[in-house]
Amino acid sequence: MRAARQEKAVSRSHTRRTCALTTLLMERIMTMRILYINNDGGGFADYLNVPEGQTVEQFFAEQMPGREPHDYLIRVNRQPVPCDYVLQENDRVTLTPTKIEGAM
Amino acid sequence: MNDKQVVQVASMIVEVLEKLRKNRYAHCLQRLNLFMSKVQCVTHDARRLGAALSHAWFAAAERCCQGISRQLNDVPYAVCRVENILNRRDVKVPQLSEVTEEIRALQDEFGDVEFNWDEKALCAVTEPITLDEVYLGRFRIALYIERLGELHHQVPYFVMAIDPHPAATDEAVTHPHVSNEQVCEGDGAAAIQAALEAGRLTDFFTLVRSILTTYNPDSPYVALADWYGTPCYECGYIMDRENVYYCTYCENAVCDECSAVCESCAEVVCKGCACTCEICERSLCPHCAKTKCSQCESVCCASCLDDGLCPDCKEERENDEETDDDKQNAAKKEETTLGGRLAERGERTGATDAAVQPHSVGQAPVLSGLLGQ
Repeated sequence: MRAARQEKAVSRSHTRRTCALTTLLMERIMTMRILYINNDGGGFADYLNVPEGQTVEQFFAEQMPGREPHDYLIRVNRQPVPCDYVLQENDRVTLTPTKIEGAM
Repeated sequence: MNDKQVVQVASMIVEVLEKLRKNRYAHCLQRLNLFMSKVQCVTHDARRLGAALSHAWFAAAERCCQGISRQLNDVPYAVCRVENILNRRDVKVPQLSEVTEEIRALQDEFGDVEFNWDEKALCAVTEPITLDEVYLGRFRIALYIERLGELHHQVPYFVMAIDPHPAATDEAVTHPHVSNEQVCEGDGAAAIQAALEAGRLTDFFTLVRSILTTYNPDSPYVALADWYGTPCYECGYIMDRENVYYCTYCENAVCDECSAVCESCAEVVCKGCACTCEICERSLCPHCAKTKCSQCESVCCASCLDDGLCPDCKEERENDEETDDDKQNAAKKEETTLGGRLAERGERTGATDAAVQPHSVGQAPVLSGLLGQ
């Protein structure tokens, strides 16, 4: 009885590890790396993993929640793109605010 | 710029960014040294504090504590400056191909991009800018490549108005956030510096353009509401909103030199409406200028009138009154010296001589001394 219980526990933990590894593997397969540069505020420039097939519009909504795309200059690989442009591996996405308040 | 020139400019920029990277480490060291000097001062004062306490010199100990407190106040700022520069030390210098692409992208973005070979400045020109219906014209953003190497010590770029429409009160202000060709970066300062350090030229120029196309009414050099200024009605001097006075009577805008304050009621009046007190020569408004001397009718302020008279008339009246009094006194005196009763009243004058008896001739009063005998 005890042996049966132990076997069950081992099997469950093995299953959990397999699932986690599978998830990680699936993520790596289903995502891609892009360079993201955000010139808002202090600025941010780093590589990100984004899901494959994600469009520029979806990417913006995820990274800049509550903000309007028309308040930003959005460039992919230094070129303007339509909002339904599908991001590719190693794309360079830049967001620059069109309104920045200067001061005295 | 043709392809060859683009590559030449790109190579100059890469070279300067390499120099900037070296300077960044030197700058890091400089700030660390400053921080260390602060720490050494604190250590020194701490040793002195120990020595003072060992001798029970409490006044000296107190002075040491004050010195330590002053030094410690500066430490957080020094730490922050060191952290800032350390966090940026590993900014990668872009490759020649990346900078070349940046310049090409800049040409696509701005259209009008040129390189001034004499001054070694990469220039991009904006579209005409209008903010709140005030036309400001086009601006040239000039990035001086050699100054880029000293990014931490000096501003490497300038913004020049191509067709200036400066503020009426200050010709150096060609844009609400530009004075003497320098932009006040405000919210964009950190992003601009990061873009320049990384050689992201397109990002840098678009950030500056974003500042130029945005009006921040909370902190301009000259507000757009004051852009054209207000001319003084009297002398034509152009004033900003804060230095305008309005005449209470004619409501015209006047400058400080052409305005006056009524001495009686403290209303502001222009020189055209103001009157002057003829006595003290101070300003009066038209209403208070109706106060006049009742005798000579000269315009006076209330403080110069006494019993409704100006000082001159007052003095004259006083002199006249004195003269009348003198005459009266003189007349009385004359009657007294005659030594008799006045014919109208029959009064004894009080003199020792006998009174004159106009009704009875030859009669004289009996003096009291004689009655007692």
